Amino acid sequence: MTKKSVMRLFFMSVMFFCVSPVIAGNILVDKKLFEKMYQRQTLLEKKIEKLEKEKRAESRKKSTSEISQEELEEIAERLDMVETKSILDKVKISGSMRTRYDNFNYDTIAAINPLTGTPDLANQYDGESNEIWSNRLRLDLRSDVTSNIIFHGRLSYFKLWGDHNFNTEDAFDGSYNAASAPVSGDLHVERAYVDYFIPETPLSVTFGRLPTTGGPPTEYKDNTTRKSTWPMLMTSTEADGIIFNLDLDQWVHLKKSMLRVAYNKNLQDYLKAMAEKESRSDDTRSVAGTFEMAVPGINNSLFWLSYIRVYDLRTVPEKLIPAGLTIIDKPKNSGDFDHSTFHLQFDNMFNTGIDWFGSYSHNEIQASKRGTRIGVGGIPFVELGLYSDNFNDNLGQYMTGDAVYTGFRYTIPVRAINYPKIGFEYNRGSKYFMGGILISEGGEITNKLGVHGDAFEAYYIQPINQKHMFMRTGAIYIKHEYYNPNLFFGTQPESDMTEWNIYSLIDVRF
Amino acid sequence: MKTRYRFIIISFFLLSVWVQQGFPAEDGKELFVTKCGKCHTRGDAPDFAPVKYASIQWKRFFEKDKHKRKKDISGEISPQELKIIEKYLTSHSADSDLPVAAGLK
Repeated sequence: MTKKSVMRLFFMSVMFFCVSPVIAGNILVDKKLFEKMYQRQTLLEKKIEKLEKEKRAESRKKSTSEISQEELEEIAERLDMVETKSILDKVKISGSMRTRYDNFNYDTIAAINPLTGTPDLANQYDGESNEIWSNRLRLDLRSDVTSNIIFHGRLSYFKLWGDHNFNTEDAFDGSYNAASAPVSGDLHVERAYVDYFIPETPLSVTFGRLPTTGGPPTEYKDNTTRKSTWPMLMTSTEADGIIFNLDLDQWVHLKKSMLRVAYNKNLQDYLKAMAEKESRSDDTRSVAGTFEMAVPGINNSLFWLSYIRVYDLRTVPEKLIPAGLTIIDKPKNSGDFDHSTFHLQFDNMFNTGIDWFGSYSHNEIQASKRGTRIGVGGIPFVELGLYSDNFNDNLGQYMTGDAVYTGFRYTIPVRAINYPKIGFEYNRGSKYFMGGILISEGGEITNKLGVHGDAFEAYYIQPINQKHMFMRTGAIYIKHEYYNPNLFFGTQPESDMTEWNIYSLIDVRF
Repeated sequence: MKTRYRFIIISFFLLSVWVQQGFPAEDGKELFVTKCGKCHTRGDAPDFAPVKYASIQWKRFFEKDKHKRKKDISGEISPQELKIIEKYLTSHSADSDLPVAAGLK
């Protein structure tokens, strides 16, 4: 037997002796050792299980983050496209579309004397215009060029339906009432102006075709918010000019307070600068100073004071001269006038749903002593000045006029029918109130604010959609005391004319 | 004439003093500036305006309480104040019927 074989036999014997007790039973196993080994094995199994779990979680996490990254890239790509589009979308467009029905009835209208162009009191009649339909479109533009340069525009269209015989002659060259005359199917630039806010100062400059039409309190009737600068009784005509705004809110902490100085040119005789040696007429300029704020302690209110001085009013426009007559000679201007306005307005007064406003205007007219002489074949027939003529020998007289305008609107607290509103308005203009500078808010044929007499209006607003659509039905009654309510040339004869305008409209805002 | 002028102006002033007693004191803009402007500022002014978002986005912001994800402000702004601020932001949002006048932003 080799040494190797002896060793093998020895190990086999040892193995036999070790294994045989296990085969025989548990009796020979050390219990403590077995429990220790078992515990150790359980522990190891748990550790393995935990490690496997961690590994699985890590691998899941890894795969999720890889997907998110892909998605993020895709989202970023899409966002880039949206960003590019939003950068290029420089102009925000909103607007409104309105269809309106009007019914007019007139009593004791004086026919126009074809020789003088003035009302002929010996020839009076009653009249009516039934079923007048019109459309009005407004496209409002806004572009935030930078954070302190903002462009605003409004393109308007206001026209009677189809063909019509409404007087399409615009009496004034300046077209300052073009958006309020229902004649043209063309889009008209009612507003185009820029607000430039001077950085780090409370100053801003507004220039261009200014927001001067349809001011407070028009928003009540239009079921919207304030949409213009001046109150209606100050003026509501389209004007080109510059306004310097001082935001006092930041300075003196009077809420919503603003001081404005405005400069406008209402008539420019551009030929003066060209070949003609002598100017044909003076340019009409106006300078205005205005102040507004919220009444202290009342957030939804407007307190307004303003003064305008208009220099060198134009003479009789050629378009107003009756056929066959010509202007023989005229002064360079018709005179000056100034106009002060006070306006107060409260929204939701006493938290009762009542909105209230009151306006008062006072004007003083310094008319030129010479009027525009009109005649035939070089022979003057009549001389017309501001509210004056040679027949009445009142050329150059000093005149003052006043007007008041007040009203309220009540929101009926019934949610089921979208909170409808009822409103009432009253205004009165005296004989020499400069109603000629007041044009009703675009979309209304009747210029009730320019009246020399009394005007009443009652209306009902039914919102169809709280934000985008409403109906308004109303009636306007005007009692004229003097003719010639909207222009200011020639003596105004007394009038008994009355006017009813019943209307209904539907307005959609987008 | 002057007496009438004075009378009308004095009447309007008296009316305004009388009327202001009945108006609610809540002012969303002031709350927005004083409360939100504490953190969201650039210089002295808030660094974002209501027109930054459309009304539906503001509504979603408040409905989902999105501010809480970044900072819990319940200790600084009461639920009632938050409602006033929400009303101000939604009513002055980018798609709201904003007032227009020369020199108004």
